[in-house]
Amino acid sequence: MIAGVLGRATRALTTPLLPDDYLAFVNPLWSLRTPRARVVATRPVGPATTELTLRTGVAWRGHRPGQHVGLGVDLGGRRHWRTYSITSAPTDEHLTVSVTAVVDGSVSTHLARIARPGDLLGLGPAAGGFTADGPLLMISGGSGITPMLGLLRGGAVADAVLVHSGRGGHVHADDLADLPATVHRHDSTGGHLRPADLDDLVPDWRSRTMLVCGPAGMLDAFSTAATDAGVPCVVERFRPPEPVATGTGGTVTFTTSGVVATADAVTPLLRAGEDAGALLPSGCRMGICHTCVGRLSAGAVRNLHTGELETADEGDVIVRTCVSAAAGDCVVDL
Amino acid sequence: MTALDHRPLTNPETIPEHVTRINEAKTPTGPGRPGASTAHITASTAHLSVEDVERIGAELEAIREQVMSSLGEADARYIRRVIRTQRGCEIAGRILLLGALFPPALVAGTASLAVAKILENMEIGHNVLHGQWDWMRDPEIHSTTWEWDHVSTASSWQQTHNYLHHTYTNVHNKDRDIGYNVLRVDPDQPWHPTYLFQTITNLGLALIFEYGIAAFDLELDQVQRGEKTWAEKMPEIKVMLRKAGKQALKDYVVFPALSGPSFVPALVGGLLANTIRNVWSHAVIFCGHFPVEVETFDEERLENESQAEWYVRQMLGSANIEGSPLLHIMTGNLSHQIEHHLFPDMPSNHYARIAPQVRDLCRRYGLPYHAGPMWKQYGGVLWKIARLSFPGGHETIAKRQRKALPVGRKAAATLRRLRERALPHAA
Ligand SMILES: Cc1cc2nc3c(=O)[nH]c(=O)nc-3n(C[C@H](O)[C@H](O)[C@H](O)COP(=O)(O)OP(=O)(O)OC[C@H]3O[C@@H](n4cnc5c(N)ncnc54)[C@H](O)[C@@H]3O)c2cc1C
Ligand code: FES
Repeated sequence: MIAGVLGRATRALTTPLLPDDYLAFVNPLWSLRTPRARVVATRPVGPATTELTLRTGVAWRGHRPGQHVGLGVDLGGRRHWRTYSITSAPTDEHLTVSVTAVVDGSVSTHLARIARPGDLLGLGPAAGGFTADGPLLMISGGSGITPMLGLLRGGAVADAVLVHSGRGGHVHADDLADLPATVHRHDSTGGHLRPADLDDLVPDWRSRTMLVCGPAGMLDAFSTAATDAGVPCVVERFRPPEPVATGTGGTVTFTTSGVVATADAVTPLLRAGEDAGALLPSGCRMGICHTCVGRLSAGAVRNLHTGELETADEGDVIVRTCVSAAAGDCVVDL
Repeated sequence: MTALDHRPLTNPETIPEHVTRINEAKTPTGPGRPGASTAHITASTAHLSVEDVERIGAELEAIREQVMSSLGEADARYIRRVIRTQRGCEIAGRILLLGALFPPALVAGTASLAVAKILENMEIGHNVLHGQWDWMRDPEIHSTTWEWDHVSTASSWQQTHNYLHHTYTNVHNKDRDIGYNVLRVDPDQPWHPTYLFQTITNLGLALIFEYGIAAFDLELDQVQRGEKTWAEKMPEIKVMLRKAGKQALKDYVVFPALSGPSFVPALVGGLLANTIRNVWSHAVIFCGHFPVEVETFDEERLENESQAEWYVRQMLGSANIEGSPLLHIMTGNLSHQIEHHLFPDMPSNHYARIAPQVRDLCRRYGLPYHAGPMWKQYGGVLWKIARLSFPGGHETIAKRQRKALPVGRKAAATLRRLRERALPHAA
């Protein structure tokens, strides 16, 4: 009650702004509404990978091991959101993520090479459920080690074997020894890690749940092997599968934002809307978290993963804007 | 920055009316359609052919394109710096007014608060609500989330200002900003005895401008004309009253009460700051469209108006104030009214840079570019209001408008004749 009265009183002082706006004016991390993070340290953990240590703002609501978080980075004055797996434990003082600079990657290159202590980042809520019960077999390639680190450091795993593949140098090589797991390194200079290698490396692999994160080829090979062996398997994808696209796109009307964007058949509605200046909700930006959903009230969209067509007249159609592209003109209530 | 609790958060079934409309005014398409008409010919454009007008449109598009594709980090830094400065002035003003019994604190506090309110309304609020900073995708500096320190709510302002005024600039019966329903600022508005006192009405309006605009944004004249009932208007009125109430409570009760023994002087400080802001924004806005030389248009002009003609109308119907960079910031860059009306969604810090290009374009095509120092523009406005409190005025005003034309009537006629002769037997 007292808090309510106090809240009202301070709001009376700051109307039409909120007290929060002034808190954030003094220190952006004090905002109670908008989670933000400040880079406090950077550390190279691989040839193109940098670990960022982040101090989280008051509004940060914490995470569970294995989850990922959206980071908002201002480049050229525009905000860009990308997802990164959390590598620290929920109980740690700071949040850590490790970012690998990908070729032509705007955000990853900035975070891995340019970001400095003191920089401020947007912070999304933690999301994702990359985890499993029982004995685990973790298979990672390159920067795919990050969700495994989060799971293992988070103390959620009792019995795990980690097979970490890398070309020459391994990402997070120096941190592997401290992990509560049996760790095998695989050097892929002599050839990719194959499911057939498992029988030698982890003889009991058929009795473990498989967790895989790495390049697309690795994900495909191991998830197929797991299915064939009747082993449960969970994969974490860092990038969406190649888009399935046909058709010509169209104009997309975002009703709540009042923005009309033109989009081709391969551009996700989310991207098209953002480029036209709309503020749209997003999380993983690859079809997992459903943060970006909106109701399709007219027209049709094509799912970029499956190529399926969804049309508004099929009733209450909710589409994920991050993995849907315009199939002709369409209207989304966002 | 803050979504007020009454802003709609759910997804409406259809596009809310004001939203599409803002968008119309944000993208400078206006109601214009490609395909030229003849309705655009006025004394100031008589010497221009349809092709000339199209070329003007193309040149302006190029200017717009060049700026919009250059937006980047420096711009983002600019608006954030202005916002920080504004918040700093606001906090400083409030703190100083706590000790308002001490006269220097009263003066400095009032000044600081007045500056904060002016910046907030003009360079920040007005421009953010136009969507000038939407490209940054920062939810805290965005036209859909911003609420400003003004009794008119953001959404109702976006309807009357961004849509009606910006699309139908200076068109009779369409642009309600012509005289704001209480003043006769154009000889084509029919005279009425109440206008006899409009010099005083105008002074009063200046003092309470914020409330005047809010009442105006409610479009209560729709009730008078029987288009809407009071019951239909009530929800909007309530929202606005609530906002005005909160504002008054903050400026005239809460902060003075915090000042304890300084209650009365602190209240006076708040009142003065609001009044200074009112008088200033009134002056700036009146200088934008009501100087004597600025043209108004008939509704026929809208028929088949092309994009290029829309641009030309915006230039003829607006006027700039010349002055220092400080003046430009304090007017929210509305001192570059012409550029703002051409490109309402262009970040305001670019107007100063493109103004010489627009001016040069007007010179090359023989179009008037209305610009002058503040005293001259505002003096002209006040003179016109005084003159038009009496019936008539067509001749006097028309004479001053003619004098302002870069291409005289005779020259225009000659040019036309020459052009028609050059045409290969069009008839
Ligand atoms: C759930 C989830 C967790 C993730 N966790 C991490 C993490 O812990 N560490 C990390 O570094 N990244 C992680 N990512 C990937 C990250 O979100 C970005 O996609 C990546 O950093 C590239 O962004 P960018 O802006 O640099 O590239 P963009 O500018 O978006 O793309 C540039 C080019 O790179 C290609 N590209 C996009 N993503 C990748 C990729 N992952 N690998 C190779 N090429 C790519 C694009 O096709 C494009 O050609 C995660 C993604 C998801 C969905
Ligand atoms: S952003 Fe996560 S599903 Fe679209």
